[in-house]
Amino acid sequence: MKRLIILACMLIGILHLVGCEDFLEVPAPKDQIDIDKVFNDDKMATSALMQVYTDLRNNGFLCGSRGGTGFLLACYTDELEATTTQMPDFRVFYLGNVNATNSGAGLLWKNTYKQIYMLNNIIEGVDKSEVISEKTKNQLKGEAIALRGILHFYLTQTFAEIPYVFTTDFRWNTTIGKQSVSQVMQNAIDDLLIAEQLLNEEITSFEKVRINKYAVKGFLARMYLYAENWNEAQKYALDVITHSGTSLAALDQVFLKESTSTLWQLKPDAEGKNTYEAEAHIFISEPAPQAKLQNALIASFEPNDLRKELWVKTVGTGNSAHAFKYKQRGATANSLEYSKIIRLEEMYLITAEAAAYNNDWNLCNSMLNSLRSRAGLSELEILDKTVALAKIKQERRVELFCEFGHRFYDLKRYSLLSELTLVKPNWQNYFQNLPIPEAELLLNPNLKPQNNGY
Amino acid sequence: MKKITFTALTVPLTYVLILLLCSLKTYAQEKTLTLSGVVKDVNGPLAGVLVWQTDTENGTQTNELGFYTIQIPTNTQVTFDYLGYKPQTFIVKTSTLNVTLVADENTLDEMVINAGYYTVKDKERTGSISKITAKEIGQQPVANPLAAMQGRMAGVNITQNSGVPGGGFDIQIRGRNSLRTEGNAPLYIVDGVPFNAQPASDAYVSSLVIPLGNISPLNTINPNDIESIEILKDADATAIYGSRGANGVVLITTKKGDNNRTSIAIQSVTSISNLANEMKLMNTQQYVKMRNDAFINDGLTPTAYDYDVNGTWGDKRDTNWQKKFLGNTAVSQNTQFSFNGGSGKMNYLFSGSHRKDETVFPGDFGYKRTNFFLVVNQISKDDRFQFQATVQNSNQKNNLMAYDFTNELYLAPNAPDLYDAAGNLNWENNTFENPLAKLNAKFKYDSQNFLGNIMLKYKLSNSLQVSMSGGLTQGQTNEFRTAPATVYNPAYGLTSEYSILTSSKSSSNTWILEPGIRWFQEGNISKWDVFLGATFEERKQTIFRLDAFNFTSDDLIYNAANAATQQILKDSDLAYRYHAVYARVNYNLLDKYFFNATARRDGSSRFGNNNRFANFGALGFAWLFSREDFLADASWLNFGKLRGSYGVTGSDLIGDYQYLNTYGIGSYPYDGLVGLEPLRLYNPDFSWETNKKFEAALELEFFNGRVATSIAHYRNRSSNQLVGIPLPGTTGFTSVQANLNATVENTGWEFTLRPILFSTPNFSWNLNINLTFPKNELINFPNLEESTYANQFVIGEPISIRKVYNYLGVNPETGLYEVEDVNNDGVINNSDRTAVVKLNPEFYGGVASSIQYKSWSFDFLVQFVKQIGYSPDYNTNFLGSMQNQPTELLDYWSPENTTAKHQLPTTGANGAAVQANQYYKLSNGVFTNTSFVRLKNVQVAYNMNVNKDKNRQLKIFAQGQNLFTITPYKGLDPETNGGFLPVLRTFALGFEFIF
Repeated sequence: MKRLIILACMLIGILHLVGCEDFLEVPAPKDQIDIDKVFNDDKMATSALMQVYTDLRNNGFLCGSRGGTGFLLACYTDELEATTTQMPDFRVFYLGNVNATNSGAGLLWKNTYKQIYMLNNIIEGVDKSEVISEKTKNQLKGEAIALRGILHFYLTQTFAEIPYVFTTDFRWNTTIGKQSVSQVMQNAIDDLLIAEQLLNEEITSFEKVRINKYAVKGFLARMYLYAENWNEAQKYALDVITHSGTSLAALDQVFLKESTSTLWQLKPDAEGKNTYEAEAHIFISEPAPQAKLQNALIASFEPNDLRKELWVKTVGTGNSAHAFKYKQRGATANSLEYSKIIRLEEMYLITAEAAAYNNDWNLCNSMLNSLRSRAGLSELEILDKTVALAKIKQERRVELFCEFGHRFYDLKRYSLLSELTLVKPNWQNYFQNLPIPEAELLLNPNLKPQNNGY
Repeated sequence: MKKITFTALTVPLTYVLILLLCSLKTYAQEKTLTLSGVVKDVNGPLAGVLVWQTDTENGTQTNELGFYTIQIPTNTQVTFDYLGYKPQTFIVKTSTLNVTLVADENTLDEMVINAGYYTVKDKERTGSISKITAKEIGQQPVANPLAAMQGRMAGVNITQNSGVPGGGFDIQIRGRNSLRTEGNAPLYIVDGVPFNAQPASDAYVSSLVIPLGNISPLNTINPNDIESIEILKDADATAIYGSRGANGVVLITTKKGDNNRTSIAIQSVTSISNLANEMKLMNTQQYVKMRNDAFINDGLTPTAYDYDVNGTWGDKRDTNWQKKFLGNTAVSQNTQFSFNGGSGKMNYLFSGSHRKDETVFPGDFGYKRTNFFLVVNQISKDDRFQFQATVQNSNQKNNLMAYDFTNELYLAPNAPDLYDAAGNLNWENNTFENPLAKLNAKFKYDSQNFLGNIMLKYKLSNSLQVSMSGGLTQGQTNEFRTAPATVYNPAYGLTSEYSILTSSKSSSNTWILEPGIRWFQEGNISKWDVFLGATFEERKQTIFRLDAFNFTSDDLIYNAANAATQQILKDSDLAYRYHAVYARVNYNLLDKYFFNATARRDGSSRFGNNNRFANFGALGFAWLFSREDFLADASWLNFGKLRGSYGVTGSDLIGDYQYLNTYGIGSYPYDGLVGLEPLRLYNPDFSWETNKKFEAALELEFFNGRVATSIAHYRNRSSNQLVGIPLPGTTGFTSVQANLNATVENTGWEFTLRPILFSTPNFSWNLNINLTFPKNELINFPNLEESTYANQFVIGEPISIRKVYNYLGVNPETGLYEVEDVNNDGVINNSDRTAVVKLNPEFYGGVASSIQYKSWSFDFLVQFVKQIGYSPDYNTNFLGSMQNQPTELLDYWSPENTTAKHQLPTTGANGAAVQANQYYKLSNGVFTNTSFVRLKNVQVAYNMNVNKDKNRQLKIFAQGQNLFTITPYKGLDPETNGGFLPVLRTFALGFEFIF
């Protein structure tokens, strides 16, 4: 009996341990911060936005590496020739074999929506916060909304009909449906107009490595141009040209980090590093290990165009050349070049194009000639819309080559992608839109149907 | 076999007997005499034989010469007993009594099984437990205990991932329960201390050379220090480990000292390993023709970059790259020293060992391990207090290249020589990416691990015992991966400014404390054994990872301080806590009916506040029907047992902190601020996975134990699956953590058969056969068709399937691979992926044989698996690209060969062919039979007793591992089945000297 009592006591003692729930409280890990804390502090909230810029530089449309549009779409069109014998995404793009399971297209989609989630999280967090100062709120929200609009703009230009994501609620976003291209464009423009209001003239980052009011106006000019709203396009482009405090940069200065024509640029992740663009394009001996400029592009420069001399470098026997806009392939004591996302020269081209549609030949010629004289080319005197548009198309080609898909998006909006059959016999009309990644269609049937042809 | 297990078993048994003796009354006797003599068996003197006056506590043991003396009254009885031998009793008449004990064939009757928190006689256990002992482990020249288990246990499927030293294993105990791969790891317990089952490596650094960065955590344990490994499989056996044991438990028990003799043992084994099998690849003539055909098919001519066929490389060379890249002989050396002693109520064992393995890759690479191990046991004078302490320390260094070279074997056979005439790396005028340059990229792994535990037991009374067990493990790992600029073609002009170092430093600290009380009472008809216990466990891990770029010099590449730029990629810690109380009640009625009940309440820090605790339990019973009266006269049946169990366990293997809504620190600063990024979609409401297990089994022994067999059937159902439910990219993430109401069922049959073919003092031969038929099935998944898993799972099929296109063959007209357009919509897309390929094995097993002839022993193990896997061309590019291919692909389509098995070669210009190749790779056409029968292990050993002294032994042995494989698979190895180095063939020679 005594033993049973002992046993009972022990049992009670052991069962007492069940009460040790506190034991299961573990401290949060040192590399995680509660979401409420992030948006209760100006600096931490800003850090959340800084991560978006890091992500933009490393992934998605605005990444300068071979997975970004600068390289992929250059291979897709008539700018780059993939020379590798392996089968990386950019060669698949070059060969015109992009299908719905292509990882390059899949990553563009996935990474961009991840960035959009991060932006929506900031927009919602800042809105809810009662602690962050009004000034920081407007600044962060302005930047985030502007970036959200720009990313959707790239998505719709590339994939055509896409969902416009306004919330972080995954229950909603799991079954979200698509919008027409014009609806996405309208939403994107609306986002940028809101951002234009929220952002003030003061440039938060003196290096312009964060989006700012004039970069927003620059993108508005581009979007209105794509939407064929010539008046608004011209208005915004001229606003940037006259009020942004920027000026055309000498050809050898354009891609330096302190270039006067920069509207918005992304900086590398550490001092001393330079751009992914330089790493992606430059090679120093023949044969080109990854890709080289297509002859069609090299031939398209007018004789004596200084841009060919300064931005194209021929290697070895002269059969291989690479883009040499960015010249610093490796590290330097201090970083010299940043990745240009949008720059003033494009505003001249937008103004010229809008002016041509408005038959404003003075403006059109002065814009084009500003760029041409800087490139050592003769001045033009155009009085005809067809001639002007052809000239502008040519100017855009040689000014903006290998920069984030300008060539592809230009040909697409001119409905001239079929020109590519000259260098790509297997080019099909349906290549104008990339396929929606097959995995996405499976996960969200509301994204059906797949783009035509795929 | 017996001798080794005895060492471990005598200790507890001695205690039990001593306790037993102490509890008996002493009878005073008038006349005593000094009885002495020698106890032997057929092989010589036996040490540690218990000699006692029958029915008293007056007793002693034989010394190492088998000699004993005892003061004993005349005309009383004396009993001689030694585990594994038939006890003998004599009436004392003279002062000398020499005894020869005879081995008891029914030893298994007394085989004691470690079930974790308690031990149980093998014949009386209610749970499903498989065991291997030091004997089987010792006869294999392997570095990891899991390798020693392969093919030896029913219900346990172990696959080696890579033949690179220091690599990892996949282990599945009765199949996959969880839809998440990482949710299927078993629980490892080493001497009572849980061992982190996660790979002991940062995959970010190591995964290029070690598949998935899976460096087995058990690499730290020297297999030769292990006395036994028990695998707990069913609910009854695992329930006492609660949620941690949902996927089975691997119990590792280390060797113990010996109370009765002092000995020193030295063991040394040298082995050589090489690639057991080469793949048949095209030779230059075949390759060049295939490439040229590709150009002809595409209507193209070779360009300036097609060096293999445009004449740049010529077609003179015909290199078998397997010989160049995987053809070296790896020499291994393993030396062990152990010191063993004790007296009376105390014993100890110390062992130290060093192991060195080379690789088959070119270059000077290899793996080194040093282990120290000490165990001390003591029992107090009054036998009430028992103490055991174990300390293990291991130090591993692995020095490898950063990439596994196995995929380099597809290099074009006419590719240039690796070295030029001057002995430098040859770049053939920049037309050749010399793979050997990759050797300059290194992977270094340096790991120190410590494990210590103590076990205290105190007997409050004859039926009440309190215990406290505590343990801790500490591990520190440093890993480095370098990519110096010299891995690139010098033509790129890269200098050490482009060199990169990735390094990772991680640590893991765990402790566990387990108080317990045991109450046991033995009556005439029934026995009770009750155990109550609690567990407190904590695991803390830290990891620090950085990248460094732009080095002043490659000579200093391991020093991040020498880099101009350093980036901290990760600096994090995590803590996991686990707490449980549990009870086990064991009731034995008439030694025929056994009942075992386990109940448990588990708490885990991995869940949100409201979901932390859950209750689990199990019931088991066993009926020894051979002890029933109606079978008492059945001389053919020695033993018969029916047992069964049912129970519920859970699982919390989902990673830590998943219920928090947090931002993490980004790896890179931007514009002066370090970024913060959202880590996951917020869902705090998920909870425990549930696992219900059922088992029924029959165990029989016939003809005086000459044939023993068992049949077990199990059915495990795992529901409330914890998964990252996949989400479309528009949500910003690829998944959200949640419980999914899906059920996975594992059922199976396990058979074992142990016939003793011969058993004479000079010659014995027995076999040990195991065979498992596992079946895995997804039995329930609400809304599977609409769910995000529609393309991954099929109800009624195993969870390890691939949903693929149905392959129709090569179209004789187009020459392209064709897959079926199942829904006839004219488009091949995911909705046509309806064919199911089952990747889980159909059956597997092993046949172990053990033959003893006088001092010779001969053992072998044959392992077999029936399964399906990827065929070798899954790992190659499309046919026609600048890459060599298996010779099977020579049967490709051409206008003359329209019934070919493979499609026409293309250079890549034929988009339809490239696309068709992708469909083929996603079809059931790319799967093949990867079943195999493998002579896994052979050992021939000669045991020499020096001077007839049993304590001086010299054992010489030759061993072989993976000697011979029969398989229809055409690739390198059906087990590894992929792009990593296969398991190697090993020959070993060694000796063991005990004195």
